[in-house]
Amino acid sequence: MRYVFATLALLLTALVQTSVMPAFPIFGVSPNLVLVLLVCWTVVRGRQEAMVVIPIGGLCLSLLGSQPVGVALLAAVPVLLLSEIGTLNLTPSKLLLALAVAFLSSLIYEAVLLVALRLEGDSVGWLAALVRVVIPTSIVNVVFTLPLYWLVWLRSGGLGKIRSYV
Amino acid sequence: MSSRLGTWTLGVIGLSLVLILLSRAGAIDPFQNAFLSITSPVQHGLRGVADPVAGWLSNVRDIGDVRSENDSLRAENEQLKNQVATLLNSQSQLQELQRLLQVEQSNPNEQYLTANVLAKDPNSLKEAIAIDRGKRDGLQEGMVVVTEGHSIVGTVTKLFDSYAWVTLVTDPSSAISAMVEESRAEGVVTGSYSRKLSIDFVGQGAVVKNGDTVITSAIGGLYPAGLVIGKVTKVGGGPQDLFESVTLEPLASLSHLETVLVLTSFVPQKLVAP
Repeated sequence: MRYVFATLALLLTALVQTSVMPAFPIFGVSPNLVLVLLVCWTVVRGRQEAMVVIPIGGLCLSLLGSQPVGVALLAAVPVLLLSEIGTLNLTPSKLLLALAVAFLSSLIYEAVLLVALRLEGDSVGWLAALVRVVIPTSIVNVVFTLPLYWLVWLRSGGLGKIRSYV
Repeated sequence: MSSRLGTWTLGVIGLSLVLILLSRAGAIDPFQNAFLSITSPVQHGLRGVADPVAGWLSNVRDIGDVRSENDSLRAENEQLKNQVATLLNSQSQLQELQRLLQVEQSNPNEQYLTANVLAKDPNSLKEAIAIDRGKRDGLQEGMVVVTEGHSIVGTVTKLFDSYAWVTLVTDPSSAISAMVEESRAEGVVTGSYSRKLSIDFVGQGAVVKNGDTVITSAIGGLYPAGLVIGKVTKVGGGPQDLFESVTLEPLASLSHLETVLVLTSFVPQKLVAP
């Protein structure tokens, strides 16, 4: 049941990303909401669920994009690998880990897409792409990590934790 | 890294590569077409909510400029009315001359197909939109897409049965043979990651000024001549530069497109040098 919910949430997020977010550009770019949701899901709910939801999210992005199906899935793989930093206990909170993973995952995600575009025959200006798109998108994704992390945390029993404190 | 994580990583990378190969061979196109068909009503609904809000926000942001813009539009309107009168006169003279000389018009019946914009590519590195017309409607790769005001939007780059992806003129991979309407200076309009357009290869001697209109030229055979691309916003370049540095703004509001027209009567041709 939890994976049905995850699939619907990721699909709706992908649809919002392709139809709503382009109308509200920030620094000239739109956030990659699906990637951010995958990061939050992985950090909050752990590796086991991430192993299922990351392929679903990657496929949703692939099927709604103009690049060959599979490229977005390939670019989303590092989300889980980077989240494993959490097992090293380098960060004091999971939220900080989510923010760091969102930034790094976005950089790698965009880099993989750039390489894919180049292999497809598109002309790629590496420095311009880095300055104009890759870094701004990564920053915007970090900003959007805060509300999405909160939503996933609430969905994962965060509300109960708040009540127990009160 | 645990063996389970390693297996998962290799498995997903392998799956991705298989999907990429299948997708490039066109084997996944029917699934992608079906997926877009199923999700298109939701995308229509979401866009129907988002576009008015975005329009309202844009109006609020631009409210300070409305008065000066109004003044300049009044002046431009007056100027355009004069031009229309002159052009109507010229047109009737031209028609009369064509009748006398029995000259055929080059594009007597341009045909357009209306399409709704479904979505934008989720990848910020790519400027592309999905439209609800595809192979079934007679679309071909390379066909030119314009706005209802007939300024250029982009070209069809990927086709499914009922849908197509259109790469916008602002995409960094886009390159269009163009000319400045006023001075007839020729160059190549290219897109960029900043979503602005520039004209490359305009010689230093060419007369280009702010506000000039840039249109397509037929050189290369990929675009019909005379479609409006945009207005010049900045002209630069030092005296030692070989070419002028010209920046322009697309005339079409590419971030708020709802309906576009596909020029079906023009089939692009790849011209090869002799």
